[in-house]
Amino acid sequence: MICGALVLLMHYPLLNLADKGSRAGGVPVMLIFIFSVWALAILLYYLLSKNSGKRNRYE
Amino acid sequence: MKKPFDGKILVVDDDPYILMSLDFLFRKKGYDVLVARNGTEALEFLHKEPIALVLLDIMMPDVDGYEIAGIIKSSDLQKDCRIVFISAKTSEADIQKGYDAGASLYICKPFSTRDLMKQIEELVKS
Amino acid sequence: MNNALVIIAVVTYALMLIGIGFWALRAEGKRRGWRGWAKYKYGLSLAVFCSAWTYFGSIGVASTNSLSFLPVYIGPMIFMPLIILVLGKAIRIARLENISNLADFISSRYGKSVGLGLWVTLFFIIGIIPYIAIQIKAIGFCVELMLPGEGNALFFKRNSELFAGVFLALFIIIFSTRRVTDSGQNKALIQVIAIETIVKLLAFITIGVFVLFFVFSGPANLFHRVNEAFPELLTTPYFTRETPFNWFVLNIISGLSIVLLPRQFQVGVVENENPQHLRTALWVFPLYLFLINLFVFPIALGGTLLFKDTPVDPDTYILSIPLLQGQPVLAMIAFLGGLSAATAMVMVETVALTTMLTNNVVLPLALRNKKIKQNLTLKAARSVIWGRRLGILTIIAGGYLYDTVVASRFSLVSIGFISFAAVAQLAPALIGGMYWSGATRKAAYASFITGAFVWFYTLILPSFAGVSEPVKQLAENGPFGLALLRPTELFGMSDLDTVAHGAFWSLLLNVLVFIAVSLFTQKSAPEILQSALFVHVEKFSDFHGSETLWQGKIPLKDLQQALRNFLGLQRADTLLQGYASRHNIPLHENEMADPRMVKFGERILSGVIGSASARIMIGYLAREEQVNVDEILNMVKESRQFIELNKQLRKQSVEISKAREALEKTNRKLTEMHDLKDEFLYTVTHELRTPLTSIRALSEILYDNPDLEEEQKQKFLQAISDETERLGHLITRVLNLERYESGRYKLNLNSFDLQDCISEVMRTAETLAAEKGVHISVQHFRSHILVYADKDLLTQVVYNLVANAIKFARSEIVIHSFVNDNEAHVWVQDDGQGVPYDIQQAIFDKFFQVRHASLRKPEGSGLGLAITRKIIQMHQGKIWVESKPGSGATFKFSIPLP
Repeated sequence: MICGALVLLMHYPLLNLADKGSRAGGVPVMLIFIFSVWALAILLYYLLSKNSGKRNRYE
Repeated sequence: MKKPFDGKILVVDDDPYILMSLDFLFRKKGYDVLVARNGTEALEFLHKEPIALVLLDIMMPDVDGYEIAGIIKSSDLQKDCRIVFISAKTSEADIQKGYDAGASLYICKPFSTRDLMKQIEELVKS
Repeated sequence: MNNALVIIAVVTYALMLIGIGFWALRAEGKRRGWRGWAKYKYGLSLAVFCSAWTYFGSIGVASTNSLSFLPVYIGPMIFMPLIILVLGKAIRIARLENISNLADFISSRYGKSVGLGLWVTLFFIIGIIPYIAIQIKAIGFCVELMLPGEGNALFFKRNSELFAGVFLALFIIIFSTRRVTDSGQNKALIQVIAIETIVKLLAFITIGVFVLFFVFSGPANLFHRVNEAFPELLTTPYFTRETPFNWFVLNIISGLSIVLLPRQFQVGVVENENPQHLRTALWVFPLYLFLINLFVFPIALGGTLLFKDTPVDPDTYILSIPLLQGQPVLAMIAFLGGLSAATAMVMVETVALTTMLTNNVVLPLALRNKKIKQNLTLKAARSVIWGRRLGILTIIAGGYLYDTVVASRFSLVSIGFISFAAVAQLAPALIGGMYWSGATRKAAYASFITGAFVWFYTLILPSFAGVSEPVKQLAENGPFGLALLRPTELFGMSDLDTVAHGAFWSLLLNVLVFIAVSLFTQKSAPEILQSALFVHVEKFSDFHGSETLWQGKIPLKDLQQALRNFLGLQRADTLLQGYASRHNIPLHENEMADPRMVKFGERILSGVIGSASARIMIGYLAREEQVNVDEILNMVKESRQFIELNKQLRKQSVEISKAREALEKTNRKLTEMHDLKDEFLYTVTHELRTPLTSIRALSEILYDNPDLEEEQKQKFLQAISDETERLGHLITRVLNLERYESGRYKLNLNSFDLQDCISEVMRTAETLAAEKGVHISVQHFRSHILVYADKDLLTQVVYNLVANAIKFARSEIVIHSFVNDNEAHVWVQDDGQGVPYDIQQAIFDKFFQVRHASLRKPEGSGLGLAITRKIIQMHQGKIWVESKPGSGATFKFSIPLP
């Protein structure tokens, strides 16, 4: 769980930078970018929840 | 009445009523019974003749049951004597101590007279 | 749009909600249905975060091509794992301490501070009422849209907000204040919320899909058309307009608000049924946010296109588009979705705020009044429930009033963010308190006040610039002309979005103050306990026995009564007995309650009335009057003492180990005493067994031998009778001795002449002595000795000694009595064989018996002298024996004269 948190703290500055980057590409691209990263994050969370479920049976 | 066996039984207890009861019970069954009201009297008997079975109270004012048991065990005359403790000391440790002192049987007070007689009879037969 | 249809639809929906609520209430006790639902329910309930703001406001924002609505959702998404961790820990703490609301949580962490709880509650209410007002406002303009034109619905339309408010208030009252449960949970309400969340989502998606694929033919088409009509909308990059800083700050306060908004805390911590559900929520909630936000842009952009020639408030696009497109059903769906969003938010927020209000404001203030405290007997539980109801009405009324009076001053969007910024001010205190045991209450106060002040200064104050001239001056020129401190541009940070700016500064100063003050202040005694409990909750989770700090003692009766008052007779008793039997605590009605019970009782009470109020209540019961006094003073005193103690301990560690040794010694002694007690019991049972043995044996003999000789029979029967009597005597003596020893025997004190006692004893003893051939005589040195004592007991003493003497004497007994040194003395002298030196002390012990070969165990001996000594001791006297072995013994006792 804790490592998951670290991973995501990394995520956020990335988001920021990436957003700056796609300045030129026209906003729709940025939208796509934001939402796909978002979807990825959800997937990650889902996997994380399954994993920690298996590992921390006794929690 | 036919004697169930040949040996004598010695009953030692400082409570006269218990002596009275046990005396009556054994006599009724035809055993040869001797009674002693305390350790000293008991020792008198034990020095005189071989006893087949001794019923010993433990807590007695002068000489306690363990001592008497010890004397019996180390006596040549009483080498075939079987020891039965009857005592109000009923904890596990006490019972173990009794058997450790060489008892063949340990009976807790208060006892049932029927059970006691049955157990003694079995012991005597073996 | 047919007015009647609309009204019918609304009413139907309302009825459906009520139906769900009742069904949920009924099903509360039973486990039914799909087990998976429970864990999804939790994640969905978190989505109460998406209120009317989401539904209408975000579309409004998006239509101007600002992405500034996104951080509200991205923030939580990014920080989700952290949020889950924090929620998880908070849930554990809340369960342990039976915390039912956010203010309680904070107040409890900082030593159950009533003051902190109170101010935090007030701040929350101030911060959230505008937010509630938005929801009501949203309902208002929804209804307005749906019921166009005049006609019979006019009344309904004009007062829609009022109706909404009333409906909401009643709904909450019905479904969440029925019982005063001890966990503060409102399961029925949560069921309703979860359903509403799904409705929200489905409605949103439906409209979104409609716009995207039916109004326009797909995303490409949409964007293409937007590009044609408003090219600048799409090409101008986002981040030059919104600085990264804004984005950053908004993300953070949105993430924080998932934990700190009262409704989120309520749903996320208090209403959590199973911490395992957190794992599901980890992805369910972000998924929900994702789905809802997916269609924001299409709807927003679609709206701008469709309405480019007609002025329509973008906030209402989600309704207006279907209406424009002639789709009444869809409009209805959207309408219901919006209603769900608004009502769910208001319901949960109100419940959360009300609980805070009753527990932290109303109750503590009420309990300040001594009369109320004393009369809190029968009406307590009902008062709590009615207090809650009143609170609900108040808060909703507040929202309504705010809406009608003030709401126009702010835009929908900014109110939301301002609320976020407000609750974020509690973040250092809350989250810092959970993870840093060094956080102190003073720091919490300081940081919260600092944050609140800055928040107010930067975010609330400037908005009044339009109305009030001095404020305008302040806004433009700064306080006292200090431009650097201008409310909207502190330290020259201009070009910032107002909200981000305000949030940034308030949080920054808040955190700095928090850390600084914590480092420089000490915790008070209750805080130390609470901080350890909070920060290291995992160690305490199974351990219900944290030490109590109660110095007072509470009679068990009072504790029971208090609990019964608040929980009802059955429930209180069940809980108490359950706890007592689990921990093997005997429940003696007339004694003081075991400290663990008190702690347990406090825990239960705090679930009902809040931890601060529970503390007051228990404190009152323990007659700790100081709780009346300003709690801060008390804490300061305690903490000062504690600091002193701390210093001493640190310097003198040697003393500590010495103390430990002493303790160990005492412990050993106690164990010895315990063993002695066992020994006593053992001896007693042993002594009892002997007569029982002969009684039993003789009885059995008599029974088994009916044809016994008459003489024998008589002999045996007599023996049984004697032994029974002996047994009886023994038991009486033992009981007497026990009574004397335990102190339960009350001396029956009188003035009388000691010589009378002696004469009385003489009368009985003479016959006994004569039987034995012993002569007794009495020697008075005074004809009357006046004593103040228990006559029966003293007579017993003299009798015991004389009887003993008779047993042991050879021929002569003399009783002396005299006064010396303000004490009455009695000697009983015999000429027996005496008592050996080594047992002259021991013979007074229980069950001590002289070993003498020719001695039969005399009746009841072993205890006689022990009882005698005890009696003398109870009279503050002394007793001893003097004897030279071989030449008799003299038993002597003395008791002080009045």
